[in-house]
Amino acid sequence: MHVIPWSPYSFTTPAENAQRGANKHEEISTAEEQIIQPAVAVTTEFSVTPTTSVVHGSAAELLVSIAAHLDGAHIVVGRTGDSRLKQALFGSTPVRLIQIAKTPVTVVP
Amino acid sequence: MSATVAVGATALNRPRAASVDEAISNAMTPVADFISGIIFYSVKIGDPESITAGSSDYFEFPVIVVWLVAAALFFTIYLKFQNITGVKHAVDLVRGKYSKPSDAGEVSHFQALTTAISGTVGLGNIAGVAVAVSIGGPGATFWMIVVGFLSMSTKMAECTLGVKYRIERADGSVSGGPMYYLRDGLASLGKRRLGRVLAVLFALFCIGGALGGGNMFQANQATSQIINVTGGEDGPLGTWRFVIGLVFALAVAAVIIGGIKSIAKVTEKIVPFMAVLYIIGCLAVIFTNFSAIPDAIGQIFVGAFNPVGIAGGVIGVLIQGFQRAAFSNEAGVGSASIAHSAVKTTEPATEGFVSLLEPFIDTVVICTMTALAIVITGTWRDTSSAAGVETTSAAFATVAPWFPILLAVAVVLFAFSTMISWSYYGMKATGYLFKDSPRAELGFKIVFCMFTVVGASLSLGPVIAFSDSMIFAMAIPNVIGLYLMARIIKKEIFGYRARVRSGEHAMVDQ
Repeated sequence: MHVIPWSPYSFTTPAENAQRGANKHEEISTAEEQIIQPAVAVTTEFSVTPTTSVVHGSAAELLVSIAAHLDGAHIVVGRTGDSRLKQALFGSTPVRLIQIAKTPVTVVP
Repeated sequence: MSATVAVGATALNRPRAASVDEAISNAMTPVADFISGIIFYSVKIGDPESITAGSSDYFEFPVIVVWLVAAALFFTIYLKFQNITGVKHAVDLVRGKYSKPSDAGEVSHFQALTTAISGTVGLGNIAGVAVAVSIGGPGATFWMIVVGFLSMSTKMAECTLGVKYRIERADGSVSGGPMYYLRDGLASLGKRRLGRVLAVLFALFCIGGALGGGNMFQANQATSQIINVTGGEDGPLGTWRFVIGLVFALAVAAVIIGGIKSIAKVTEKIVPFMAVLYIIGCLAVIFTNFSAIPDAIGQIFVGAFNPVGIAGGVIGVLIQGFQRAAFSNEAGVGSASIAHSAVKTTEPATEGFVSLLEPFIDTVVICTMTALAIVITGTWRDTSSAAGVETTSAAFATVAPWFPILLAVAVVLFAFSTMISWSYYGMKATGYLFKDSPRAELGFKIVFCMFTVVGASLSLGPVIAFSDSMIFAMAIPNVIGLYLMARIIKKEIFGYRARVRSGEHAMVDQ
């Protein structure tokens, strides 16, 4: 699962808004192609069929709310090794996950 | 109006060395006066000589202002005071309580609203209000607030239609606004030809409005404030208005022609904070002079009903308040409908409700703040300089000498974001006329940047005459369309309210 960072409370220009619908589709298909498909290709080795999805929103919150609807869910995320400055400015998904998750979380280095 | 502009213009023409600014000014003034003479056709009542005699039996009533206020009053009653009863629902919609999770990634109500607000909150809120209070006295504030409340209904009407008749293209991009609802909405009523004519008229006026109020007026007043804080007319920048205009034009060109999105993005993010900072600034002015608060409130109410020494008496005050409020919140003008129509929703009425908040924030909150600051400090009485942003600046200076610099920063950012928004409105109107031809849209953008320089160079009189007339001209085709489609609007809004009550359009669990 891939979450495209997006907030309904951001500020946008009218030109951006008019193109938004088109851009959303483009963002999703790019993510499918560049992130989801390579990941799925890896899983074929282990003969499991994953369900995938690409959604917009805040990564940690969305992962938690989706996991809450599944039985015995376990959240596995990667880390990006952000610098301190970058973390201070933008936060990090794993850190946020650990704070709010209701299921076990594994962070893969 | 023509009389007041003439007075303003003579006060502005201070002797100055012949310059580029003056050449531009001399060429534009007769054009501006001609156009405003047509749009602001006024009914004259009483004896014109009585003004010089000091009495106030004479006043001019611009028909166009009555036109807008009548529409606002009509829709307030016809839509059964949604501007009061619908506010809570509007806030819920903006908070996303009705947005489906699957809509994530699309334009939210909050984004549509704030984008529209960054187009409306501009110098009309800072300089326009100063003009109203300087000419109409403190009482103009009262009428401004009245119009602010009423025009929430007009805004609701036009934004509901904007979403209902928007065009969604195959690639997912959206175009909406009065051009489209006038054409398609009236066609659905069997008035195909009238719809087409009104839509073309609207698009033409919208281009003019984008160049005038959305561009020249903003550039003009931002330039004035920059000169003001750098030492006034005698300061280093005093005679270089067109150079400041050129810098503005280049910045705008970088965004709208060069496609440098980062500048626009940064502006869009800073503007909301500037708006809050501006309100705090006004509150600082108000509380620095807190002993004058009761007197100022008294002046506003007395001035509204029983003004002394204002040309035109109560009617004169009323017109000033009405006119500047309408100019500031643009309700009935149709411009914001273009911005609102990009929202992701299945119910056109939802954006109608959300748009109620726009005139409220713009006029009832921000304009009132400016007016209070000016009335409390009494700077509106000073006739030595042109009414406009300098009046507000003088009010800010009562807190601390550096305070007008804060205002200058706010003014430049407000002006810039309004110019970006209006360039988009003008571009969409051009696109409508020329079937979305990229070449025509580019042509418009180039002309737009040229007008930025012109606007910065002119004195306020001709700029405000041209800006006002073009913005108000847009209201003629738009409001005709709103009246003709009143029934469609009512059906949308009340049908939607019923669906909310029945639970068909229910809140979404977050």
